[in-house]
Amino acid sequence: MNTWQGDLLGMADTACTVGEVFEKITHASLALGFEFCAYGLRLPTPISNPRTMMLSNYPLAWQTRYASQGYLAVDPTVAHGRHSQSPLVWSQVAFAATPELWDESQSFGLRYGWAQSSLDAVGVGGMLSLARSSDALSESELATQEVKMRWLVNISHLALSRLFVSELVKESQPDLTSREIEVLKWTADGKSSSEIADLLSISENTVNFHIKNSVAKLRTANRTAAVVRAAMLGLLN
Amino acid sequence: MHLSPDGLIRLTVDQLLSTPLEHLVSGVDPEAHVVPAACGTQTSLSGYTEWISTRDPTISIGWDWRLQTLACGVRWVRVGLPRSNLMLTQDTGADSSWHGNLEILGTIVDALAWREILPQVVAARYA
Repeated sequence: MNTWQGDLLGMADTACTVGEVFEKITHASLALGFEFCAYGLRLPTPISNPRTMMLSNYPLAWQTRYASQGYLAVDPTVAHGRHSQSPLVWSQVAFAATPELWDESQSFGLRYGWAQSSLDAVGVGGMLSLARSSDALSESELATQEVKMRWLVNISHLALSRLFVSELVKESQPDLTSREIEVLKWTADGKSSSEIADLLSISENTVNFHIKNSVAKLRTANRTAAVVRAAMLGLLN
Repeated sequence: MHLSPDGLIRLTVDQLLSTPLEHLVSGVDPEAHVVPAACGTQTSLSGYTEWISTRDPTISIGWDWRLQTLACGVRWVRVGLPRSNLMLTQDTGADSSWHGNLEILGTIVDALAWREILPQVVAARYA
């Protein structure tokens, strides 16, 4: 019989859809004692309006209410996840600034919960929330189960970000030459084309040629956007 | 959980995730100290850490880390694959490949609370 851990690891070897991956995450959450789970993924681009994706088996009425009230913008668990990758146990104290969000989620059966965010090398952020309608999380439960819950966060992030990010990275990563990356690095440091030309002992026209190619390959509008995108994809490290 | 004749401890992912691990030792790579400081130079910090089980036979997992600078602050990231005396077995009971074993171990290392304690541990050791 397969364990939930084996099922999750098996995702690496098989082509899964987002729905299939989330079904395995739901199964794992249940095995850990949580009937509800939600996963949010935020891609690093476009900068002005990063793409986000939400998966959840929360009650549909609550999902609709959460979206219509714009609770994502004020959710303290999301705010915590943006600046810390330490887990957060839901509590009235944590939701002190948003009592209506706390009361409403409680009324939909999301009474006890735990959340942790993750951030990978290409700037993709994710957050897994586990919740249930009864039995508060005890210290002893956290002592024995939290590593498993944290592992589920990592595996979920790996599986889902791979599905969403592979296309994003594939678009740009393989095509940039080492010279184009070098020119982008100097551009990121604020050097002008003529300064880069002096630094690399090439003509200014050649520098501009590399920048123009990079802009096209990264599918951006100009050199500034190309540098930002390349940096966020980890291509300038 | 037992020590195999080949010197490896075999257990499943679930068994490992259920095994308490504690911090043993951490250090900063000596190269970090010899880089001359210069105004405006970004700090570079890297090192190693090892965690062990509290039960016999002792499980040992070690890995390298570095401090990554982001626009919003810094974060501690694992570098490369861990080193260990563990062989994780699959649901079928078969061994994983050695590389696959280390890759799965990496995901488990990333789930340990080492990022939370490392700053204090390193600061205390080099204070």
